[in-house]
Amino acid sequence: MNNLLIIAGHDLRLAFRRRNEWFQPLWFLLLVVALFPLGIGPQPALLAQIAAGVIWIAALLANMLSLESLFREDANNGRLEQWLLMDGSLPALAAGRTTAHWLITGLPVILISPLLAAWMQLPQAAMGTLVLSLLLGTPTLSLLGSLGAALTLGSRQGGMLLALLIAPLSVPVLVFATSAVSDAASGFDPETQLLLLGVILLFAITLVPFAIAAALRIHLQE
Amino acid sequence: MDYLLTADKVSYERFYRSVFGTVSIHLDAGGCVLLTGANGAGKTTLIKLLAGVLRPTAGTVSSIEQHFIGHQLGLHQELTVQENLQWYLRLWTRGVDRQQAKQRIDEALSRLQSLSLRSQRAGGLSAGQAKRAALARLFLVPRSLWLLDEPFVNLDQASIDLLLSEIRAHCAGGGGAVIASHALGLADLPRSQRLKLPIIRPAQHREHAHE
Repeated sequence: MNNLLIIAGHDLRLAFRRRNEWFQPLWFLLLVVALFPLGIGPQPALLAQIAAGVIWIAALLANMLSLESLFREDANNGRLEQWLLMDGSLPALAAGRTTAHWLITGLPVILISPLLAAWMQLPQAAMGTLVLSLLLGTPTLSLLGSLGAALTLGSRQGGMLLALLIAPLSVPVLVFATSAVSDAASGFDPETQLLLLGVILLFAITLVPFAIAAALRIHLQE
Repeated sequence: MDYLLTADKVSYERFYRSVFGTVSIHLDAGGCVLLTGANGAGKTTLIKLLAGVLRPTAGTVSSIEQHFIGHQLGLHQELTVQENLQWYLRLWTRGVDRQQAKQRIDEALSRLQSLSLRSQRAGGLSAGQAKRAALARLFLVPRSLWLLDEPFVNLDQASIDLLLSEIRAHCAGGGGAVIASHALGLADLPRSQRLKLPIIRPAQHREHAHE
């Protein structure tokens, strides 16, 4: 746990030093969502209908933006080898990096999501559900993304492969989240979908760090 | 605690080719193994096996906690030397406050007279300076076993002498080291044994591949 916090803190400090690392995903998200009302035109009803999907897809893509470099730098400079040698804590270190990734790319998205929702004419009633779905869903995306980043570490052009690898894995999160938001928008109770998102997240938190650690180990064997 | 490292009939295959045949090493406190061999003989691979970065195809390696400094120095380019060392210190030890950490880093850097590198960014260092910054890890946290892959490459003569005397002092104090190097002779290190890795011929490789 301690190692997790050390790595997360260190990564955060580094990210704040290079501003575009945390600014770029946010900027991308804002831009994509802002262009939708302009492209579709003044049709509030249509916008409200697609709002959940648009915001979630943009969040998903923004999450992928900074994934490729997640472990690459440390693999190149040799710190990854040193991680491996720190007695048995590789999953904790990997989880620390994932936590930092979520705090940098996921949390800002959640914070500005009410703004995006207003932009997309999402009904007030669904606002809370949108925020909640992002809160439960984006950590899963960060975890899956980290796993993808660790798995594609060996390939020179990992970016495309990475997207291809994690897009299908992210589909359940996307489906449950958008369905929760649109249910809430039409006055139904989104509890089931939110619980499912929570279950997926718990599942991912307990298992994925170990999978990331295994993937990093395999990479270092090459 | 008398032994530091034991490697028993270790071999490693890369793409079904044996890299250096079979190697056994036993290292007691105060001992030192000098690893030599031509380029491509597998010195780096063997050191990584001993460190536990790589897993042997056959045989076993057991060792106590060690310092491993490989070709990749483990320095983040955008951090200063001090920040880099702080990262290691915090992950290796518990309950070191800021003041103590700074003190220990200064102490570690001064062993190779690298104190002036402290607030420089690792990315801006010369190859020799970066090596010295990485080698400071040896003194950050005391560990009995040092695994060093070409530690003298890129160092100037003064630094080589300093490092050599540090290694001698380390071994005299009951520590041990495995050093892969072209630059050293047995005379440089007391009680050291030499392990020369043979070059395995391509012909043998091909036979292996066809099996």
